[in-house]
Amino acid sequence: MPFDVATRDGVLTLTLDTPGSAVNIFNHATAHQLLDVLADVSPATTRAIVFETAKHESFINGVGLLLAHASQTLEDVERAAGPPWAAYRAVREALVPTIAVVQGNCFGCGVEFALNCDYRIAADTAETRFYMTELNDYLFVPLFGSTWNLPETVGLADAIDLLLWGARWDADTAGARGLVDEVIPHEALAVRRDAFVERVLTGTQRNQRRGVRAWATEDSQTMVRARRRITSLPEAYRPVYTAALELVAAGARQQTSFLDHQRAELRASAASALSPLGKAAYAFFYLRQMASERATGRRSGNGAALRISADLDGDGRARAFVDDLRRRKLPGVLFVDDGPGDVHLVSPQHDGDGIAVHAAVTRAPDGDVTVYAPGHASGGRLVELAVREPAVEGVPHLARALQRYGFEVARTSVTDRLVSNVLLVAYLAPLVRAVECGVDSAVINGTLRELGFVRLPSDVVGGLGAASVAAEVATALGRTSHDVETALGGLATAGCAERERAGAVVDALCVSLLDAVLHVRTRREVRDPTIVDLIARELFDFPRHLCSLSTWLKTALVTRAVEQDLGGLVTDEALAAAHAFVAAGRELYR
Amino acid sequence: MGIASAGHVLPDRATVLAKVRAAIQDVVGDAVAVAPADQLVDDLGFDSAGIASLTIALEDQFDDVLLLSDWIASASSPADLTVDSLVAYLLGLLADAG
Repeated sequence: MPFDVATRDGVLTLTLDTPGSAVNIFNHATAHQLLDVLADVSPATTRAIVFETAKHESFINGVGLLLAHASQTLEDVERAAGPPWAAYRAVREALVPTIAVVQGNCFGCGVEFALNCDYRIAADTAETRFYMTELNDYLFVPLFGSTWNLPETVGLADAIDLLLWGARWDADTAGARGLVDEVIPHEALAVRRDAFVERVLTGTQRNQRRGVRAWATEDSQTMVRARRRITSLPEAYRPVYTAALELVAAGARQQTSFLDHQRAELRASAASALSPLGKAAYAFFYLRQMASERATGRRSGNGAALRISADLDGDGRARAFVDDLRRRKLPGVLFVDDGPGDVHLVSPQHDGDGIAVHAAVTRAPDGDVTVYAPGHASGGRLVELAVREPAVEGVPHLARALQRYGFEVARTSVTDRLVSNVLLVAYLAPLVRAVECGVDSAVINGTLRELGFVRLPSDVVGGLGAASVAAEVATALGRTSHDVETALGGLATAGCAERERAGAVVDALCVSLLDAVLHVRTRREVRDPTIVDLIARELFDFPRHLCSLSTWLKTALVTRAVEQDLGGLVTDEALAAAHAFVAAGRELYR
Repeated sequence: MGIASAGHVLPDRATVLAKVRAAIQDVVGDAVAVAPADQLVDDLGFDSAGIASLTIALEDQFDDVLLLSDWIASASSPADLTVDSLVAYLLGLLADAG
C-alpha cells in the first residue's frame, strides 16, 4: 500500500512510500487508499492527521504524468484526474487538522497536496524544494487547486512567480514567503514535528496562510507586469500562460466557489495538456528521466554515505561551487577537511569556461572525472559529468549526489573538450555569422523567440559569462574574442523584432546543431541523444514545445534546411554532414 | 545492428514480444509474469519514471535508441497501454525503419 498508517495518541500519521519508485507519486492507488482511510476518520477518535514521507528525497514528485499524457479528450482527463481530485478534496474537508511534513522534492501536485492541508512544515535539506512543474516544464495549467490556494497562501505576486515563472523555493524561502508554517532543521525533525503537532492540538499554532484579501493596487500592478512579461514569450506560449494568469487572478479574488474554480481549472488544464504543444512538451519528461538514469544507473539508490574532500587552491569559481554544495544540507553527504574522501575535488588543470572541478572518485587518479557547472553562478542547474572511460565504480554515486543537490546531471565521456561547450558553440556560431553577414540583430532575436526560445542569446551568454563564451566561440570560428563579443553585444542590445523573420537563421541553427550532435555521437562522447537534449534544454533553453533538440532535428526538417541558401552561416563541413544525414534517412530517435 | 537488423530481416511478433517481456522484467523484476494483455500501469505497476526505465531497457534489447512518448500520447487512457499494444507499436517502428 502506498501509505503506511499509524495512530498514536489520537494523531493519525500517514507515511507515503510509493512502492517500486524512487520518488513518491500520487497515483490512483494512493488516492484510493487515502479516500478509504479518510472515510473512517472521526473527530471522536482522531485529533489530527499528519502526512509524511518515507523517502527523504521526495515528499510528492508528481501525480503520474501518464494520466494526462495518455488522454485525448476532456472526459479522459476528468477520468484520470478524478481519484486524486477527490482525495485532495477529502484532505481539504477533513474534520480534524491536517499537517503536511514536507521533506524532499515537493513538485507540482505535491505543492497542491500540501496546500490542501491546514498546516505545512518543511525540513531544511537540499532535497526539500518547492517547484510548480506544470507550466514551466510541460506547458499545461495545473489542475489540483493551486491557482486558488497559492494566492491565498503566499499572495498574488509570489503565486505568479511559482506558477508562471518557475521559481524554485528551498525550505527557508518557503518559510519566509509563508508557503510553510515552520522550517525545521533536518536533524531535529522528529522532535520539532511533535512539538508543532502538539501546538496544533492545543490551538496555539498560528496558521501562516494569508487568506483572502481585498484586491489592492499592488495586485493590479502585479497583473500588468505579468501580462507584459507574457507578451515577451513566444507567441505560441501566450495563450496557456494567459489562461493560467487569469485563473490565479480569479483565485486571488475568490468571487466564485472553490468547486466552480476547480472546474474552470480542469477545463484550462485539459485544453493545454491535450494541445500539440502540451503533448510535445510532456514527452521531454521521459528524455530527462532517461538522461538521469544514464548518469546514475537504474538502481543506484542513495548508497552509502558520501565523503567529499576538496583541494581547490587558487580557483575562486570552483571554490564557490563547492562552498555552495557545503551550504546546502544533504543527508548522507559529508565534507571532510582532512584525509581522503570518497570523492576528492581538485582545481582544474586548465582555466576552462564556466566552473569546472576535477574529481577523483574512489581510487581513480586525479582528473578522471570533470564536474562542469556552466552558469552555476547565475542559478544554472546543469552539471556535465565528463568521465574518462572506463568509469570507476563511484561515478554513479557522485552523479546521484549531484542530482539530489538539485542539479541536472549530463554524463558524457571526456575526451579533449566538453560536450556542453560544443553545443553552446553550435548554437551561437550561426548567430554570430548572421550578424557578420548583416542580418539585423533584432530580427535574429525575433526569429529565435518565434521558434520558442524564452531566453534569448543575451540571457544565455550573460548567465555563463560573456568573456569566456566569446573566447570559446572565437576559437571555433577563427575570429578574435573582441569580434565575437561585439556581435553578441549587438544581439544583447537589439531588442526583439515583432514581425520580420530570418528563416535562414533557423535553417543554419538546424544544420549547425545537427553537426554538433552527430560529432559528439560519432566520437562516443555521449551515450545517446537524451544527453544532448538535456544539455540543450538546460544550457540554452531549447524550446519546450519542440520537445527536444534531437526530436526537432528530423530528417524532413534537415532536408528543407539544406535546400536553402545558407551561404556564410554554417561551415561546408556542417552542410556536408547534414546532407549525409538526409541521405542516410535515419532519425536520431526511432 | 540497429532496430531493423542488417539485411532488413524484420523480427516477428514473437521475437519482439520476447524482447519486450525481457525489458519489462529488467525493470520490474524477473519474478513478475508478463502476459500480452497486461496493462503496464495497473497490472505491472509502471509510472512515468518506469516508462523511462523501460525505454532504456528496450534500447538495450534492440540495440538502438527509441522513444515511447508517441505510443503513450496516442492512448486514450492508461488502460490502453498494454504489452500487446507496445509490441504492435514497436513492430510499426521496425517496419518504418526497415
